[in-house]
Amino acid sequence: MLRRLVHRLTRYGGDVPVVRGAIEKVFPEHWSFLLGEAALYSFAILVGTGIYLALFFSPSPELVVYEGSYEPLRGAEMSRAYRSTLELSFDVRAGLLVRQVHHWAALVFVAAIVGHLLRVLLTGAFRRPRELNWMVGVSLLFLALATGYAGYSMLDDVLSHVGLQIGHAATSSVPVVGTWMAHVMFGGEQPGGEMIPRLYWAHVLVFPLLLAGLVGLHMTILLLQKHTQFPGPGKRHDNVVGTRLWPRYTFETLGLFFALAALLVLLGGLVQINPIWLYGPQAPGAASSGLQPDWYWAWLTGGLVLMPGWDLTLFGYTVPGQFFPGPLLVAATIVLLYAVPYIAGSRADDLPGGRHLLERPRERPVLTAVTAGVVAFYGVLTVAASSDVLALRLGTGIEPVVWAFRALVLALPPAVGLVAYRAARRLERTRAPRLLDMPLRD
Amino acid sequence: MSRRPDERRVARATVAVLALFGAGGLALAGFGVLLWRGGQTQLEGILLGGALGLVALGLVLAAKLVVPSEEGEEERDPGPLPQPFEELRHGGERFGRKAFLGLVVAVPLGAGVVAGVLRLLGIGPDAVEARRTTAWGPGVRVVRPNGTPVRADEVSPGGMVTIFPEGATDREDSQANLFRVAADRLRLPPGREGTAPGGIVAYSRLCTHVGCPVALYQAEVERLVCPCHGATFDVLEAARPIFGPATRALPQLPLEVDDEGFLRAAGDFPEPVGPGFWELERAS
Repeated sequence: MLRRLVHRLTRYGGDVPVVRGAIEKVFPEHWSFLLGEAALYSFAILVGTGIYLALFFSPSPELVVYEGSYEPLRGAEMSRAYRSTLELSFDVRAGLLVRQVHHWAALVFVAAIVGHLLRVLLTGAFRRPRELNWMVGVSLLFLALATGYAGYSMLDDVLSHVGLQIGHAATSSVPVVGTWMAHVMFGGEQPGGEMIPRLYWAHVLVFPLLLAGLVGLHMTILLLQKHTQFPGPGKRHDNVVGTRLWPRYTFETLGLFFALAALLVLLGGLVQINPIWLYGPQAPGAASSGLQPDWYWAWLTGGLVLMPGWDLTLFGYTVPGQFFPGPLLVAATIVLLYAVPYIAGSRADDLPGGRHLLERPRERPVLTAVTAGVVAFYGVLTVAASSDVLALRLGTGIEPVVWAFRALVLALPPAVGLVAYRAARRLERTRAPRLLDMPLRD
Repeated sequence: MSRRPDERRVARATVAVLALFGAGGLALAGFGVLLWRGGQTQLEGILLGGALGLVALGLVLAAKLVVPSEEGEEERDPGPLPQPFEELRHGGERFGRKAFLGLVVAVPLGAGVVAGVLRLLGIGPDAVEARRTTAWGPGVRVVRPNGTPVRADEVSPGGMVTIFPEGATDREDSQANLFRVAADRLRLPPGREGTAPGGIVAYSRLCTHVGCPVALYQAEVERLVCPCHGATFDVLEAARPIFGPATRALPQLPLEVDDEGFLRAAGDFPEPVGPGFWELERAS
């Protein structure tokens, strides 16, 4: 019965030339190709839940007294922004569910992007003619990081305010223009109330527009160039072999969307995230311990923890120590990622039309090893952000933990890289010779 | 190349798919009823998440077992396209890629240059001036965050009090920590005699690393630890940094006791509070 419906739709759509072209589009299949789709669907869920939240959130720093349903904070002074978030969490129908789904979706969004980035990197899909799309993708990653930061910081709770303070200090540490830029961007010597509406408009309008535009460009280039594929029987540089868009691929991809939505809703309903009522409303001097940013910013925190205090003085001017693990590391990360096609794209391999067949990581041992080492580096930094929590669990002071991570961040990346290199070479040697790709027709 | 699965298998799979969709619909209805009755976050998650999950299962089952599955093949290069698309298809080699990269580099660089020019011309706020001073000054009374003044005899050893200048409890840059230590154990640098009456000493609460409130006091070892990145300061030695990423001591607020026994500041902090910045020495 279902099949007959599908058949009828196929014939119906097939009569329209544009639709027929779309229906016959072919998608190569591999589990790792789902990562990019997962990112896309997370973004869609973020926009949907975000619209609901925007109906109730009030981006105002004006101080009010809380008289709502959350008892422990009754009578406390807080900004309208924070109060509207409390109301969303306790008084709006499905408000807490949507808030938590939105936050979980952001965490999954960035994770999917990073996973997708690693897949593209390790299979060589960033090479000609896909360098432009690689750079669009890298932009999407950093936009996602910025959007997440703005989103959780606009709620004006104690924890995210600390994050804003760190952002302010990091910006001020930039030589020559830092102090001035931080003052202008953050509204003063410390992040002030003006930050709330600024973060709001960035998070709700500017960043989503940029994200949507770049996602559109990303998908357009993908559609025009067609997806890459792993080598195999019948697969050549000049064709695409896989599942047709309609009917099978449509069902598969819709299935992925619903599965992702199910996961996010289950997480949002059952696993607490960003309980701002426990952190408390921002007030001068308020603080707590165990302060962590969202996972995708923890690498920056870890760098700030591990870097020893070394200020640089030049002719009466100071480059404060946090510049190096702060703005400089961030800038270096950005530049490094954009430069990947120039560093890792190999000229000798260039085929006239560019390559469309993927490689397995083992075929590029150096790239795989370097990637593994870099991942280990950022991984150690990410874990090091929780040094204080770890020290507490282990019952030691923070010093031994920090020293251990300092040693680890220097020793682990080369070790991991070496292991990855050896593994790749060993795997490559033992594989059976694969069917040769057929050469291009002319 | 088209697979023709067994007819009965397809029929059974179709029934399973429809059953899953139906169950999903029921769960969704349950979710709706729950919302109408007031809602409860965990149940909402289970019902809505369950509904979505059942539909997902149905779709995947349909994809694998019900819909006709054909492996397809298409040509990668069906012919030239209208211009912007043709250029994009070639990865923007001629101008797209350079333009994009140029944009990514030019925007931050341009912003930095504009910022530098505006700053040098003196347009916009004097960010450095703002850092020279806080709300503290000679004779300003010491108060708690709720505004109540602090008497010298109310400060007991082993505890830490967060303090603000009277009338400026909303000034984030003026926050400070107050301690009482044994006066004979305090080792302040020369020139600071009398700034810590009876062993009562105050330091800025803004970490000189990246400005988090330094909130963790380990009284047994007289250390202050910042919860953000572990910067550790020695309370007995003018809050100089002894471990971690901070490079400068927490500025000390000079204190005095007035005739009525209340604590007052004897002046502002002698150097800028909080994180370092380019013009630090000029602002000191």
